[in-house]
Amino acid sequence: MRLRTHLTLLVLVSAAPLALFAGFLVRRDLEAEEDTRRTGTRDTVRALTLAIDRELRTSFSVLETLAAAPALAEGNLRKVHELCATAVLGRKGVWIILFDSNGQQILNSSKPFGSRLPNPIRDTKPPGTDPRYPSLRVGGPELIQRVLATGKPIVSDLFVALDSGEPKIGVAIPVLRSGGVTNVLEMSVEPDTLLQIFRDQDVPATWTASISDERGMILARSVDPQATLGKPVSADLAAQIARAPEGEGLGRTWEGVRVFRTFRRCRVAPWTVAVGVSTELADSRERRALFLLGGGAVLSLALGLAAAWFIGRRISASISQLSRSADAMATGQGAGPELTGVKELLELRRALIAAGERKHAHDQLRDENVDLDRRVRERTAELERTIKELEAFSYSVSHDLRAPLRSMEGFTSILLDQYAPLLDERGRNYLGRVSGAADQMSTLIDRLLDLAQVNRRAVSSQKVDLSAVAQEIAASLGNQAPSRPVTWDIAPGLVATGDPALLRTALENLLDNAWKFTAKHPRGRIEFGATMKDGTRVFFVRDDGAGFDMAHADKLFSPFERLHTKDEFPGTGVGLATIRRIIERHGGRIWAEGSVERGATFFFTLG
Amino acid sequence: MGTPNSGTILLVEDNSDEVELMKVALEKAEIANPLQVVNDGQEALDYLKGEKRFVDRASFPLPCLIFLDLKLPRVSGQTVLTWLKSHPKLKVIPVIVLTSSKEPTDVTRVYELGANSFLTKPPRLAEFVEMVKTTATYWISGNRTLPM
Repeated sequence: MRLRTHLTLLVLVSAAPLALFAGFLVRRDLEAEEDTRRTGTRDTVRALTLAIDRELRTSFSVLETLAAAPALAEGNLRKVHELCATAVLGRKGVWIILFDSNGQQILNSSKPFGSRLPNPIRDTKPPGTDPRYPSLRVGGPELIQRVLATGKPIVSDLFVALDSGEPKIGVAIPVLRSGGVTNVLEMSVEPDTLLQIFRDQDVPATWTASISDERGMILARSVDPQATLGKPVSADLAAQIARAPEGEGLGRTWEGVRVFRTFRRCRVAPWTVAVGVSTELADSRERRALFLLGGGAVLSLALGLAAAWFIGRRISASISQLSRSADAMATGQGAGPELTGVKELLELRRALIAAGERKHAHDQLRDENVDLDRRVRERTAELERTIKELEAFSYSVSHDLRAPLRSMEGFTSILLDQYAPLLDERGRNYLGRVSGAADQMSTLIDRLLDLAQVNRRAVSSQKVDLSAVAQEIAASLGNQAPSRPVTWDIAPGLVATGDPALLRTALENLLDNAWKFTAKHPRGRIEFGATMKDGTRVFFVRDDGAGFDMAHADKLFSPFERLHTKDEFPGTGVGLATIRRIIERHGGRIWAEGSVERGATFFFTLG
Repeated sequence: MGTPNSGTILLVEDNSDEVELMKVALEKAEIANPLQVVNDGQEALDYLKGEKRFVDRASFPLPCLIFLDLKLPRVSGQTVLTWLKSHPKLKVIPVIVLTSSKEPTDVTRVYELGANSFLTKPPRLAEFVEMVKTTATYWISGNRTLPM
């Protein structure tokens, strides 16, 4: 997966639980609000019913006070009219009527005393008579009839008043005299006055509060009171009211609005108060919340995704740039321009550059090493070639030099052998000199080949008993001139590690020299031994012969350098050079001490 | 030692001094066998094949012993040795390879080519005489001459 995909997933995974949690919170909040609303509507409904009951009881009290008035008992109707008008003074839409036992209005506080008044029982009309209120009766005969029949106070349904021609409700009590109902006192109330109750109870404007009578006709309604007055309540509310005195549930208003409704029946009158709260309002709140939440979620998701896309692109670009930089560095170019705002990537870039520089340095070093290696190999090969050529040359020379020497030696010896009588002493002497010169040249060639061989051959590493080797050489030299009075002093058990053949050659040369340079002394003493110096074993060969001047000590070990004439001591001048090469090839060192006619000592170490 | 043998000795040598010294050495060693000398490898091959000036086998009989120098003009001693030792009949002729120095010739290789002896000529005449006497006597008396 690409980096951007990862980031997008990250955003989605982070956003999802957040959205769920927010949804849960909103849901809970809405539910709490719903609860509050229900409680609110219940309380309001209860308060409204109580207020209505109180109002009706007050009306009853007023009526009972009037019923007990002495003027009524005395039949002073004028006085009663006056009292009634006083009782409702200042109350708009409320008046008091006195009926006789036939249902005939005797007096009406809303009209002047002595006015001609209707009889509701006689003048009543069936419902539908008044086209404005088709559901209402005109006149209220039942109210009067029932009070007359039962002798009990009563609250009427809504009906159209005969006297005013407007809808009204009546609260009526009987006036009892000597065991019988003589009169009925009725307080007529215009429904509009009930609206004041809604206002008093602060019913919210968005709520629909209604009061309906026993027949389900609307007495008062907080919304659109004029249009709904005297109309039946909605069918579902009527059904709810029919089932129980109080309750709540969903329904539709008279206008068809979907509401959550709470209703309750009053105690004093068979009226029902209902309060409906539009569910659409609640629904719309919920929808708005959900819309806000969803929109917010979508918006934040979009922002997150955009950020993920942007940051991803930026990081991708940085990483790509880093990759290119790394590639560039791998091929030896620079790291390229800095292009990133991510701290870690900047650090990575710095680390890459540092690593690149190290690698570059390392590569350079390696290249140099490889180059050095190659040059060393080339030089070595060149040297080996040169050495091979030199060897071939020296063998060729030795062969070509040796052949004429053989001839010289061979023919002089034939002359001396077979033709000696033909020569005089001088001639024979000359032949001897030729023979000797040839002999010496032959030796010289051999020694040069020895020296070359020391340089050429590999040095083996074995235990060599130097004392035994020295003894053998001493014996061999002694055999050459048994008469010479030379004392040998060879320390026993001197064992060293090295190349047996080369060490033998070295000892041969050293002892041969000692033997040679003691020849002119009447007695000779040659010593081979070892001593410790600075923790290193130093071998030495000492003689008491001709010795040498220390001033020339540095010339001793150079080839062809001689400190004596050939007539004094024969020699090639190659022996000590050969010895030094052998010692050096063993990792050792050689040096000499001596003085003229007091002998010489050659010291050497081995590795 | 076996019975005396009068077969011809062939010396392949380009250096006239060496030829002369070989004659003296044979003389001093009292080896009386006739000596034929050729001066290079090509002549050696011609002699052994009986070609060119060596057609007459009576004058140039097949040798009973060959002294062969390795360093020769034209055709080398190794070539002569290789040809001879791969010849069905002539391969039985003993060949003594001589060198005049301690030249680092591959001794093993020379023996593989079929040399019967590999000798370094000593510098002194007396020693050379001794060496020739020993080897020639051994190879001549121990071997039969090939029929012509």
